Amino acid sequence: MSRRLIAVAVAAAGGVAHAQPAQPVPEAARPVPSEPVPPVPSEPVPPVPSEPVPPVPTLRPAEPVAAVADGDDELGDQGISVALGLATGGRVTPGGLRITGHYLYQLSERDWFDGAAAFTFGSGSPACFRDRQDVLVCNHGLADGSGVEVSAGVRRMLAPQAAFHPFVRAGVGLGVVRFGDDDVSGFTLVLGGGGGVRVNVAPSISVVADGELELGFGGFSHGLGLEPQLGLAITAGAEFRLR
Amino acid sequence: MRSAIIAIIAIGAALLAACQHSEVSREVGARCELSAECDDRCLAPSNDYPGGFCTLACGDRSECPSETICADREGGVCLFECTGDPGCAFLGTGWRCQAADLRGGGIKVMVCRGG
Repeated sequence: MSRRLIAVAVAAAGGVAHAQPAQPVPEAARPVPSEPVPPVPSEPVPPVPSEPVPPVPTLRPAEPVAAVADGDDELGDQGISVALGLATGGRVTPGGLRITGHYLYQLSERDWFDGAAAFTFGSGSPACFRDRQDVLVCNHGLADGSGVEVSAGVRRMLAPQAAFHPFVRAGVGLGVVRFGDDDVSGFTLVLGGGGGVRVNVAPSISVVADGELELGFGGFSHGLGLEPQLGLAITAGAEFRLR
Repeated sequence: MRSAIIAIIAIGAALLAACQHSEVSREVGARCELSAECDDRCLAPSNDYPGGFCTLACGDRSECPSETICADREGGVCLFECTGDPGCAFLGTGWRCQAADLRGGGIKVMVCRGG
């Protein structure tokens, strides 16, 4: 009986002690960590029948994404291209063989910065003369003269048509023009607009064909003064992804 | 939008004006002092050819461009045909419509020349 009373008293005292706020324990008085106690094997718990659990999608390591047709066409966000073609000029607009290099930088989903350098190589035959008012007039043919032009513009990609990715382009260019046999040179400022199509032929490589109409003015030597520029260029070439 | 339309019209008008065909050319009619200024020959400035005259050597009428005829002068040269002095006014002062022998034809024709 006395043992039962003592046990009840100890239990009551412990409960009161746990209910009290913890007192700071001096460092020296803290209990020393004891040896880990091996776990006591418990009785096996019989499985409890539960509700059927819906399957949870399992996480798997990422697999390489197979290239799809559209993905193959992507140029990355930068590219360069080289194109060869013909330019038609007339009067004081040079024409002939046209070699163009482009640098492309993606600005948005559909728009690309398009910087280009175009070289035109035409015949050097003379075509300037003094009219009856003693004014110099130049009447060059479609494929006369030579020129270098640097332009900056925007290329907008349009909705693809099967494997063909059409685009339109607009830009402004500065150039130098020379008609050697007439000893006439000039600086030009032109606005260009046109379009073309790009077809992917290999990873990071596309074939491009485009046409562009250029309108503007040029200032020329030998008193020729300000003259209009009107030209058309058609080129085809390859475009390469930079990254 | 309106300014863009005006700009397009202005550019078009300028281009149209620039495309006006000149009545003279390096072949026939341009002013010159040297043959290098012409496709073929330069009849140097003189009373007969005020300001100089680019022309083509010819043996008969068929060798001259339209509106010109092979006159039996300077060994045969193409000169502009005319029917009166006003028809030669585009060549400048000193040019008149005068008779000349037709090269290879044995008849007189009216051509523009000085004097």
